[in-house]
Amino acid sequence: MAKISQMGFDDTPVKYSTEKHVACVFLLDTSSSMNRNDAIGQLNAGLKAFKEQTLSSMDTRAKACIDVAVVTFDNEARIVQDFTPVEDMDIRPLEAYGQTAMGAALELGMDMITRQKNVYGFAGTPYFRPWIFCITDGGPNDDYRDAAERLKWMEENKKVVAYCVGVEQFRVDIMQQIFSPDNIFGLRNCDFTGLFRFVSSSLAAVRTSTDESASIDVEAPATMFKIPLN
Amino acid sequence: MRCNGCGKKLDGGVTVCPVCGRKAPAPAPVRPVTPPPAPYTPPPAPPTPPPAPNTPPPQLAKGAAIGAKTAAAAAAVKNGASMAVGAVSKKTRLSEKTVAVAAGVILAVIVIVCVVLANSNKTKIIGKWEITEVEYGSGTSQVPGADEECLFEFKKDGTLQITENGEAVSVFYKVDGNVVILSYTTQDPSLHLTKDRTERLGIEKLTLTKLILVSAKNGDSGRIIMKKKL
Repeated sequence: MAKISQMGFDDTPVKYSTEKHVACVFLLDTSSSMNRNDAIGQLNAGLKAFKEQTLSSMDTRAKACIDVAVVTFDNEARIVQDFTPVEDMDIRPLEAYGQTAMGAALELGMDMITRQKNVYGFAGTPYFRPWIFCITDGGPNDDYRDAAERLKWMEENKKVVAYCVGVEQFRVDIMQQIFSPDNIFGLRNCDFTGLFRFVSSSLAAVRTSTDESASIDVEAPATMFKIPLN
Repeated sequence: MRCNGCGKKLDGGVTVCPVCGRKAPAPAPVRPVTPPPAPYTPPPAPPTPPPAPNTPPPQLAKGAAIGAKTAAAAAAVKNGASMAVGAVSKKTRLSEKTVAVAAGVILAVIVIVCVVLANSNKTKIIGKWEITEVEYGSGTSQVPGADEECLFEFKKDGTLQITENGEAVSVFYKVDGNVVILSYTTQDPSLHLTKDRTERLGIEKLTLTKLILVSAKNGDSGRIIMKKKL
């Protein structure tokens, strides 16, 4: 006899559904160029550092309210980790190969954020404006224009906040077509560990803030720098 | 077309956004375009005889172009003519309507005049009237015998022929309203008419079949009752 799958009233897909959540999706470049200087290794280390710092610096309730997703893009964009609380993240080593399908990854990330917002809405969970963190060492090989237009539309309509962090010789000119110039940063020495710790601290600050529009005072790593406007 | 919920670019015909589930925005209304009038197609030209063998091809092409221009001009002329004919026909319809109304009015006037004239004493009195009874002022009356014939024939030429037992006399008459003015020239004393005298007879009743004339002579009133002799 087939078992009937039942869900209890408390088994909502959102933990601590009455608490204000923040969703963050990492778009990680896993193209073959990330093999240079072991950037991909640094990226894997950074993801681990992100989880460790978040779990160590926050209480159970707070870290349960940060939902993280990971999307990699090389020849295609794929979901490595769907939205889950940080403590449930399953971090597996990423490998670098192929091209840089950044446009597809941006579309996928925006789709995921939209669905996660629907999940929040269904559960009655309040949420901060979701984040998109795109990390790359180059530029897109696919058609990114539709994704760029959509991202611009979503930012203008306050549906998402998108950041780009580039390492090595990333294509600043193209990133400026996709992201807001104020949200493009450079990263020296592939210091992904420092970057992810900064992101963790920023998410924690946002999580505890009461005014979403107010700036948060989080010390950025020394390896991270602002891209000057042309 | 872009989804209003998540900014996803939607294909035409999509009613619901596949990402966020929101109803797709309605496409912009398209102003109906009036189809252009069908171009004038000239009737098929009769088969032309083959060109002379010494006619150079360029002139043939030129002739064809001229023919096309002529057809276009003919079409334009025809269109213009059609418009002109349309305007003229409109005017013609208006004038025809006016003429019809005027004719109707005239006809009605004629009918009324005819009716009036037909009903006028001048017209109705024309014809032969047979005396059926003569009433005198003294209260006595005289009815002609079966073998007696007494006729008043009012003619169109203004003469009144009075016939009594085969003897006829003619007098002039004139109808003036309800009065018949007789001018007699007879010298027959039996008719009580004297030369160069006039006598006025009042019309008491005049119908298509009956005529009653009233005589008021010397204070002695009498009535002559007649019926129309068919």
